[in-house]
Amino acid sequence: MSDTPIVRAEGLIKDFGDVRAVDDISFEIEEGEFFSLVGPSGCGKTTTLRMIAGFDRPTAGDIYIQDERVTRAPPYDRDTGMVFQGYALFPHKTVGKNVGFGLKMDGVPEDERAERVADVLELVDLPGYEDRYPSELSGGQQQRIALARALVIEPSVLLLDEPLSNLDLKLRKQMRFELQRIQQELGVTTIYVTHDQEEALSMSDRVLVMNEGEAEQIDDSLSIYNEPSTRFVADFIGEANLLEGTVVDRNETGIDVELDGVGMDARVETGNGDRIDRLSSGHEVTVSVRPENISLSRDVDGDPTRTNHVEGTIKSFTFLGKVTRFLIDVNGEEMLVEVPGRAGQQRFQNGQQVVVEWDPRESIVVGV
Amino acid sequence: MSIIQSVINRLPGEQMGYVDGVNRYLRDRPNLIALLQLSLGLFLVFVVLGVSLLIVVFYSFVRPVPPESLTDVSVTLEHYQLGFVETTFYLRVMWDSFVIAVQTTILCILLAYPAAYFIAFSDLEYKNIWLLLIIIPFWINLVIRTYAWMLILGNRGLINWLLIDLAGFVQDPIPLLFSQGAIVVGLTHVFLPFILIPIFTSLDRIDRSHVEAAKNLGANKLQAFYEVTLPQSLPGVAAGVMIVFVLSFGSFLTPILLGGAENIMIANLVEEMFGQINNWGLGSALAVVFVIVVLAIVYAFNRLIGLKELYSQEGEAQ
Repeated sequence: MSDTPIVRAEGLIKDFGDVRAVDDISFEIEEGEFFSLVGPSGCGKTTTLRMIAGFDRPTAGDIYIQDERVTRAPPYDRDTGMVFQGYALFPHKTVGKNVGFGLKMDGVPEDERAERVADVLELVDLPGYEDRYPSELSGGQQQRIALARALVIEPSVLLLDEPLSNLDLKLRKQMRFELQRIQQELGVTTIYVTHDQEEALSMSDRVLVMNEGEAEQIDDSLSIYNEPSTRFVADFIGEANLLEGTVVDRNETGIDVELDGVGMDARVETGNGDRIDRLSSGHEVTVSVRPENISLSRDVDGDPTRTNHVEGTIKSFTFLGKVTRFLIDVNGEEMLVEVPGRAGQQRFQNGQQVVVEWDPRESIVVGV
Repeated sequence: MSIIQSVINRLPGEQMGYVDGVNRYLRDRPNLIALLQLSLGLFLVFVVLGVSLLIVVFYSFVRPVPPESLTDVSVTLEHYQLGFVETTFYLRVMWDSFVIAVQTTILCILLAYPAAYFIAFSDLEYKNIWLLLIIIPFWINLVIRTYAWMLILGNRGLINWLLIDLAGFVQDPIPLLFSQGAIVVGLTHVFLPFILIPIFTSLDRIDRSHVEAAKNLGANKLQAFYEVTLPQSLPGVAAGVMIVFVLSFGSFLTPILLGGAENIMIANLVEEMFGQINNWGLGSALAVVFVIVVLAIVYAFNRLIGLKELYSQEGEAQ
């Protein structure tokens, strides 16, 4: 890894008329990093990518690729390779000419071109496909060709705009591994745009979560999931029970929060101590608990020393194979609970009284 | 559909069974339904047009024309001999018509492509209104529009008035009207939408991300146009070229009004033979040769450009 980032965005802003699509986004991407922009549709992630590629010009802010300011450079003067959502393969050109297009524009002589095209087709597992037309390929194959076409020019940064969203679920999961393998094999710096948080978490070194044009959090996948810094991130990445409450006490290891909605006192202890440190009695906060971190038990009168437990009623449950999802009514509030394996499958029924319980270290304060 | 359905629903039981029977019969034969839907068009093309054309072919090979009875005719090549062996006049007119058609087609491409490109690729909010603005003048009667060109091109017309009275560049009027050039201008005006619309359609259908992909891969604007946009718009250009060429090759009214007596086209000659000189045999022979020439050119054009291939490929790529 070199010291200078491959891509640097500084205070990017993009307005479309009265609408601010991207609002003050900054980040740095290291060489070889797999960086994801994730968020719901309309959050500005694609616009951010298009500004890096040079298709949209920022209203304000700057973009640097390998320390060169490219904010106003046209797309063809930037060293990026992009895979479009619809692949954008040229329908009137063969696979070989599609993949060789960037090399041709670079003035690479024809025989070297053919060699490099053959190599990259090997890499994406479609050797010998040079003479076919895109219309003769399946969606997955077109996707690989689009990737090959972006990779063959050996760009400083590979830009992927929802490349898997047009594939069916099974192929999508397969291509995820495929993409990761190729990315790691080549060590190419990659920016990946997706609305699928699972995709973002599973593939990325770091993730930038965006919402309504703004950056919510930039972090590695684990931190994004385990230590979401905002309500939005907790809710968008994975699932979360977001419980409103007021801080009533604090000591060395954590805080006590009175959760008005579900009617209980809960203790919150996290490794991410600095967020709790700033809190004292009287602060209004939101506590996030993941459904899979909550357990259910039938013995309503169990051990009185345990913390963070409250009684509720099972409203409904759905068997999903690996887990069973329960919707629990807790004093009028709904909580989502996931119980893995056989534990969730047999013992419960609708309307049953249960105790909902979680470890103080498995909950986190997300909104202050 | 719903009206038909409600009528069917109100039929008494016995007829209901009959309708059901027909429905079932048709459902099992989708080809038959297609044929029924096509039948009116097929009837018009093959019976009305085809039979008239056959009569023309028949007239061109017999004597006397028109025959007084079907038994009292003799087969002859004299009409063809008169038209194409004894004189080169008719062939020269056909050649002139061909040249006019080619010039018209080229001028149409040059005018229509940039306009279509502009409408298709700019960020105009109401592309259809721009198209409409181009098409609206064509709702005015053809004769009136052609007369307008006479007012513009005539000796006391707009252009000569500007040159002589206003600018004083020349003393005597420049003869613009009643020339091949005037015909080409008039025909270009008439047929412009016929090529503009197919070009616009094919340009508008091009996925914008194709152009972006080309630029991302290092193509500048010109290269992206040449490599990606232009080839994908060729089916539209080819379709437009075909229509404009065939229509202007056989045009009738424009040469009468703008070409004058000396610049006639092949359709005017055929009309003269039937309507004025009353030589139906020669008229038929001219028409037959003209149709064969047009068909041959269309066939050659399709072979050369590979129109079918272009179209099918574009269709599959969707």
